[in-house]
Amino acid sequence: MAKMEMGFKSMDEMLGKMASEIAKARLLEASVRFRSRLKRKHLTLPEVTSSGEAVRIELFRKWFGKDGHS
Amino acid sequence: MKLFELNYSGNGSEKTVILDTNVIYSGLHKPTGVCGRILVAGIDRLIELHSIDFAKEELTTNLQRKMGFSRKEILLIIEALPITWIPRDIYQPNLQRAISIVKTEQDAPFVAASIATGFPLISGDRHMRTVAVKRAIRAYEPREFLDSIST
Repeated sequence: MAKMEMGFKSMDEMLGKMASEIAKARLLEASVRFRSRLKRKHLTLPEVTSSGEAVRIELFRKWFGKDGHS
Repeated sequence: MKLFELNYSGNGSEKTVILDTNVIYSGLHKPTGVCGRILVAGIDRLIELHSIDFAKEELTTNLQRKMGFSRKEILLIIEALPITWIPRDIYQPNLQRAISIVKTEQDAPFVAASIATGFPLISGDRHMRTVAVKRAIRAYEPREFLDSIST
């Protein structure tokens, strides 16, 4: 009955909506962590993206060898 | 593993995509921005988001080294992403071809994954959207992709 009062057609629909709201809250929480750490470390997003590129070069060699053969 | 064998038949649609890590960083930075809205569309199941295990490792290493996150914090961040990680054995057979297409070999695993699965690639990196790459795979910049699913 509660599900109908809340505008859901079925229990599945209500549970699906709840799961998606929980997932969004987790993403927002991850985002808050990410931004506060950027601030604390005095980093910018381009700096993090750029260091990610350096990590990618290193990982490529580690995973796939010099020319892509692992 | 069976799931991947069943789903990655090379018949990708625009509703299932592969994300470059730059899209993930931007989405984490600003969930209300273009890349953040792509992540939210994944949560709402409007689209299906994938990336590769190589990207997950890049993300993990970078969050640890550059930002000083602990393993536990990294796990919380990665588990909050609505992304399915494609294992290396799915895309590695296409890696040599991808290397010959993309100018920067370290970006080749993403192109290889797109070739292997047929799923388009979303990236903010211009190396991923050259004429040669666009001839081999469908590649979009985040804004272009978001506009295409919003209309």
